[in-house]
Amino acid sequence: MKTITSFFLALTATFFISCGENSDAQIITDVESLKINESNVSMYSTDNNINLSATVYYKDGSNADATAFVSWRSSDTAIANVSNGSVAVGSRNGGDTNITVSYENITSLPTHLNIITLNDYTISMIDADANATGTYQLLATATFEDNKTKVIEKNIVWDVNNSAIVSGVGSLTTVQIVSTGDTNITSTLFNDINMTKTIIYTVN
Amino acid sequence: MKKIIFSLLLFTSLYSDASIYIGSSYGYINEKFDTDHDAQSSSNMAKLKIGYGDRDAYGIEFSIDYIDNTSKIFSKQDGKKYAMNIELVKAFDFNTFVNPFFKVGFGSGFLDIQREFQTKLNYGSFNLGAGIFIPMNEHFELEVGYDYKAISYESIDTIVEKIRLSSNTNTIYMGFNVRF
Repeated sequence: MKTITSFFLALTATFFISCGENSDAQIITDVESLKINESNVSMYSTDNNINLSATVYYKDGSNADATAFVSWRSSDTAIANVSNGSVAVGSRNGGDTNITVSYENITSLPTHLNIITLNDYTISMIDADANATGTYQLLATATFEDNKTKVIEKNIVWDVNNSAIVSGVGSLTTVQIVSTGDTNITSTLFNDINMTKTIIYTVN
Repeated sequence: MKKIIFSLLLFTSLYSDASIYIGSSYGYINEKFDTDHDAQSSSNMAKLKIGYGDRDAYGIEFSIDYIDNTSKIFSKQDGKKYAMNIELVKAFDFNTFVNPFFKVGFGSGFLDIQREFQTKLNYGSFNLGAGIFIPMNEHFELEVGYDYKAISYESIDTIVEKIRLSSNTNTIYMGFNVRF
């Protein structure tokens, strides 16, 4: 009986020694808000992707990079699409859209994205020799509504006929002239406006 | 073969003088969290249980815990805790006026929390305990005991990571059982 009593006295003493003040601060802070770090963003309608980033703010004042953990949404996917913070221009030539991030029931304030409209463009072949077959790079240069000129990176489709083969996309598009004769090289911009340019290339 | 023999012995021992019993107890629980998240809380707790077995042999016990939790560990105000446990009890008769016992089992429970993405947090536990039955007559007995639980909580979502907390609880309690 003494053994049992001693055991429980020791147990009780251990218990009360181990007791202490109740913790009154959260040990895992809670989420306060989500924010896209960039506020007003613009890009040209034929640009390659740009990257945005998102931050989660906590109630204890700390924050963390949440870019890869949140859902990204564009209010108009014809103007721009967004995934994991990477913004890709849509199939429409310019416009405005809002980008938001969300996680369960929390959504960020929108970031305004302006896609600058293309007004006109020209196409050419770099270092082309009119009397020789060979591989040449195709180049399309656009003039935008802000009068800036840029090489077209996206939203352009190339087509050729006769004795030529086209490969690659965007600014790296190349054409291979494989025999003599006339070749039409045609580029089309944007599905919604079907802006088209053609050059006729002749190898004698 | 050994397992079969052991199971038969356990079953026959359990069945021999076994009876259903019910009980309730009241105690004090202290919970300490893992070293990465230094925190602790203490609360009163009550337990209702129903068991089947003998007070000086084996028994199996099903219990429901209510913990008057007021901690602020998971959220700005954590709620009360409720848990269910199932435990195997082994008691002894040393021809004294008490019957010591120990028990082992597991349980699960939950508490309400106030976080952005979670309003309830589940947990599981591995339970150990020891104590004494103090028989008053054939049907009534007092119980004094100590419970230890190793608790593992459901993960908490902070968007950039999911954090799992674990804790250890120590409980001392007194109770009253009725055996039929």
